[in-house]
Amino acid sequence: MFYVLATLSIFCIAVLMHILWCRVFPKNRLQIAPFAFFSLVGLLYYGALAHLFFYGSSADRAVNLWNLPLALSAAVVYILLIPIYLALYFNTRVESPTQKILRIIHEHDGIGYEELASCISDSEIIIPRIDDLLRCRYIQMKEGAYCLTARGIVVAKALNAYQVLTGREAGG
Amino acid sequence: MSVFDMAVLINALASFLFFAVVQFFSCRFVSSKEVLRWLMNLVILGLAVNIAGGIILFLKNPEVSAQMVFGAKGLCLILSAGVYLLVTFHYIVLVFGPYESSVRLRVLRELYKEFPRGMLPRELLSRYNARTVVDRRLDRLVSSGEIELKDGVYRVKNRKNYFTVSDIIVGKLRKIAEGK
Repeated sequence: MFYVLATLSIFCIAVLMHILWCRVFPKNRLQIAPFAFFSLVGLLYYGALAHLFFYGSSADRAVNLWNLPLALSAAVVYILLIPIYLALYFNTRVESPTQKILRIIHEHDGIGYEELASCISDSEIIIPRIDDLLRCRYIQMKEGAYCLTARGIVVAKALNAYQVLTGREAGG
Repeated sequence: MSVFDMAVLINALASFLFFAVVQFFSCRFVSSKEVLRWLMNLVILGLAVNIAGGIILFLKNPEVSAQMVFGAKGLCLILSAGVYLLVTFHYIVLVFGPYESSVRLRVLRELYKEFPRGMLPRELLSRYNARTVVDRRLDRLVSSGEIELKDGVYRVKNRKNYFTVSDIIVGKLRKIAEGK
């Protein structure tokens, strides 16, 4: 129980530190690096704490619910929680198309297809994502046309391989 | 690594592998419309396998069971189920979800079809555009029961679904982090 409570508490502290950081140093972009730092420090702190607790309690060998040796499982939970928080944090800045559709339907308390489709344009859904691909150099502009870069080809090939393996139609 | 750690992690990994294998072989028979409901059922099936595996491993296995003190079996079962759910969530969010619904990845695939020629912006948008995105998502959401279509009007049906809960958490997080 100690290890699980320790990782959950340290994770909560890392999240609180990140929130505090975002409030004290507000920026108009995602601030992932501070959270990566806080969570890494938290993991190191947990490692030290678990080490001390394990050897501190080794004099009393009796295993009970409190000192049940689950140090590694608790560390795995901690590591797996990090991307989940980052995904939630990412969503505070970027609204997915599905979330946008649900929000519009919810705000209108019922809406017809044409009205809904008119609320969502290429310039909101497609163009910003193409710009992201350009910025991250997955695609490039050549003579007015979008072309894949070497990096983009690798991703596209991986997607095609996944499609061959799973037999699913193209997503999107 | 203690025997408890080993039991928890092996059980979580085995149930995730079960989920992944079933998902891998059954996904080709599931249409895009049915994918959300199918995925949810599969996660629950994997969880059932995890709990069954946990009972066998923690309760019936004499080697592990003998070392279990009061309450330890319950903690190991919960922890193992937690690790399974977290790993499955990562697979869905990082691998399956992006393949199924990422706009960026679809754009890359459309461009790959025409590689090395490339595509003009209007050509790309005639193949894949906001309307395609809306149609696919509406089909998916209606099919999974998140929204309903009645007399040509879409309404949110299930007020406490994954997306609304996620929206509430994200909204609160935004307010706290940005002080807005």
